[in-house]
Amino acid sequence: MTEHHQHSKKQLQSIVTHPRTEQLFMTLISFFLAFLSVALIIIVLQNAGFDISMDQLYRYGVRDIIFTSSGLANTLYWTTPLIFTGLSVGIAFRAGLFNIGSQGQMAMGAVSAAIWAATIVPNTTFLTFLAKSPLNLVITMFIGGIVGGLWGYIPGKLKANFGAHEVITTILMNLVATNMLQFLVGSRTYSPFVNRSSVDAYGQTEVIVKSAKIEPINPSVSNFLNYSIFIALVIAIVMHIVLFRTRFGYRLRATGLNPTAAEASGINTKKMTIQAMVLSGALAGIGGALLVQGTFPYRYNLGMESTLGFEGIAVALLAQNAPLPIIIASLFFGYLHQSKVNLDVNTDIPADLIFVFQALVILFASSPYLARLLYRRMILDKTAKNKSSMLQSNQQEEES
Amino acid sequence: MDTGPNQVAIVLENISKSFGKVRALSNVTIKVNEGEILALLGENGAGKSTLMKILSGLYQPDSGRILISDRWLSQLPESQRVKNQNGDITEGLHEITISNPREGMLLGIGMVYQHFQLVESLTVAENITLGDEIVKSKFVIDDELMFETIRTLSEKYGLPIDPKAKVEDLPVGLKQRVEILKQLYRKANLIIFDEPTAVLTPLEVEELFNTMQELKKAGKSMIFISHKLREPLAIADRIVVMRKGEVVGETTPSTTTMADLATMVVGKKIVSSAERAKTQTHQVLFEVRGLTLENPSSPKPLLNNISFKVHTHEILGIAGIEGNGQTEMVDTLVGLRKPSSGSIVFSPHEGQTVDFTSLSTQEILNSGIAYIPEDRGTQGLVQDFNITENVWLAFHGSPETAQKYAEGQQKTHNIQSKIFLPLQLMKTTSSKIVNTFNVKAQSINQQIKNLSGGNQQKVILGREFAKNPKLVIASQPTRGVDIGVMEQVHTNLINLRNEGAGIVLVSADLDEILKLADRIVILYEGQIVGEMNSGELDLEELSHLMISGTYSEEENTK
Repeated sequence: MTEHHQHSKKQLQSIVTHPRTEQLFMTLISFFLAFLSVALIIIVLQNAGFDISMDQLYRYGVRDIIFTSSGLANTLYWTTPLIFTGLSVGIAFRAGLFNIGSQGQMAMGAVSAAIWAATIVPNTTFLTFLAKSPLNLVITMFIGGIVGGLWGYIPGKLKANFGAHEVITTILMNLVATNMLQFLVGSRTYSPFVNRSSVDAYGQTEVIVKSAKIEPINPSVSNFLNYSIFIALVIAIVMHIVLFRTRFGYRLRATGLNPTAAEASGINTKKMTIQAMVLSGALAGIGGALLVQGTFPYRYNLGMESTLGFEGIAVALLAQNAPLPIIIASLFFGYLHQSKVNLDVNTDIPADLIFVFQALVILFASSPYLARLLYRRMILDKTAKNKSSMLQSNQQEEES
Repeated sequence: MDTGPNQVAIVLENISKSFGKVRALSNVTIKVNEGEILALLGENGAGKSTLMKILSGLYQPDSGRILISDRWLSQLPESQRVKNQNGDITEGLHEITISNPREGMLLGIGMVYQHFQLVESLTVAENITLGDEIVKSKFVIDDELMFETIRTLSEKYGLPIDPKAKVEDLPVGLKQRVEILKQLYRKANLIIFDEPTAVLTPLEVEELFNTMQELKKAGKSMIFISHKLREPLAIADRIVVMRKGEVVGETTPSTTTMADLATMVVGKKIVSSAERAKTQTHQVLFEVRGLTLENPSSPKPLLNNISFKVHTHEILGIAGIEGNGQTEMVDTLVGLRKPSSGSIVFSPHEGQTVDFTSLSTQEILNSGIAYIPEDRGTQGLVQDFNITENVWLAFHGSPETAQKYAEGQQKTHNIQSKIFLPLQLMKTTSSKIVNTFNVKAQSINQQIKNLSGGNQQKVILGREFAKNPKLVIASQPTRGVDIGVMEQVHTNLINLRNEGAGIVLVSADLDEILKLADRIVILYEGQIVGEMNSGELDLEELSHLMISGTYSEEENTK
């Protein structure tokens, strides 16, 4: 073996054995395993006499989304709120907190933004100027962030001061949010902010003022995809900077990785817990506000947040809580969300199949044992011999 | 002296065990006779627990053999007998292997742990039979038979207890009795008691000793692990003393005294004071007055009225057996716990005083002290951070300190930003520390968990000493590091002292304290029970104070 050859081989080795490469491969293997499992389920169902047309599944679940511009646009439309809820869960995770409450935080952000821009601004004399001011677009967004942040602050404070576990409290806050929404917009008889003239079955607010609306990028392609996706991308990048380049992010990560050491180094971990939960809630809340501001007909209606908050948990998990990979994971889950919608509208194929696929990806990704085993078998074993010789040479270097 | 059949029951022969580079046991041989209580005495880290873990099957020895008597072997259940019969036989002893705790149990070796292994919400009988239940059919437990069996068992050994009582309702002494019955139910031949008196009241200790006498009559062998002196003297037939992984002596209670035993446990220390520059001006740098920390779950405080002073140019050694309040004291000094009463005053410059009791940990650390935490893995470092990020743990509250260290007067980097991390400064600081302290790492971006313990400790020392501290609070600074790193740590501490810093050195390693400290205070059960200058040390007294908290008897009667 020549010197050069050996060197390049060594380089390849270090790439293959690098933890990040392993992570990437393991994610891919998780997809593969989830895909196989769903295929297996479909085969079983077909043999059991259910009519699942592969042709339809491909057409509406894959082709119409990936190979049409409107399908792609709608995927991106779902990507936007998923980036926010993914960041929301991811940031909390980085601080060592499992925020299950993004769903409720998002819903509260959405409804408050709608109430602000549809009821408060037009009906308050000293605020009416905002109905024409472009500033209102940002203010509405912030209102969502503030209320979402409040919804995160409560579990954060409870955790910091009384040790109440955030998983329990955020789940309960989700319930509070659900019933709050019902009260605010659910009933035409008593809800204070409901649109009473609406003929739709579900509760909804009035339409927001024009200045708070976010326009579609290209209405001829899709009525849904709007400029808020750029806000999402910017905020994801900002969150990356916050986590890895700021003093706040450093303290947040230290607290999440080892609260004992963080405390011993002088970090006020209780304060960090509260701040992280507020930030987490605010991100979900902004996501909710943008959902209202960017979706025709520009109002909040009950259930419009779908399960995007919970899908955020999956996004964060898949992206290992890193802001930039969260964008990619959101894209993937955005696609799945759209394919779910597509299958529901156009075919008899149960959209739950997509749910199953989502769940399986998470299952395989979060129980890395199987995937790691496969990865090590497939890729590492082949090079194991070289690896051991490499280790030896490393040891020699250390000794010398 | 011959009481009962003085026949060997079990022998541990030339047992050695290392963890990495640390040798925990070297060539340890002990034997236990039938119906004998053997006390195993030694400080923390003497190797007692490791030896017992080998005996119970938790660890495998690197070398050495375990042998049991013919009689013991013949009492074993069929499967174990066949399995071990092929082993080497010498003088009626059979070599056995204990590959896991379950096998140890089947061989008749039982352990009563200091922390009970009981299910609080189950009854006494259920706890005893758990894992080997008395059943009617495959899935149904035969309650009647179970209670009856346990009642007979407790009567047989004279250990009265209500089999139907819930364990959570029992006092500590009776819980321990349940543990003992558990071992007897499993037909243990040898019962190991791991510091059994630590949790008991004096009356309960009396009870336990009666129990042990009963068991002795029934022919059971017992090993009694302790680091106290009085109890082995009261109950044991033989006392084996261990120190630093070796057996250093064997004696019987009738032929030894407390003082002799204390010297044997702690060892003959050579006062090899490190070189120190003699200095005259000694100004009080740090003063702790009446520090008390209440224990929320017990009327006995964790720290009781602790007072001491540290001067400039001085290393104050806090000696004591571990678990006597050292951890709590250090936590309180750096503000991680708030004292119930007392004051902690730091005077970095003449005329200037800072009261730590009213400050947060961050403010205390910023006031010019270095803090080396006891447990580097959990308190000192964030394992998933890289070296640079871990170095920054010491500076994130005051980047100016890092700047002073890394760049002197140059101030090349702007660190004024309240928002952003000074990434460049972080790298410079980290590189300088890695180079100065000779940390063996591939790069400053390497994750700290991939470094050896010694190198991790160097990172902590490096970052703390880089603060150019006036006062160092060092807790177990050389735990688990090899000789080379230990020397480096010691040299660094002495240099700092010579430059004028005051150092509070808490260490379970008495050698380290003797080598470094100018003055020693002894901590026992949360109280300071004695103080000595390194010049006028009475080692016997020191050992005695550490182990019993009082001066030896002659001193008391004066």
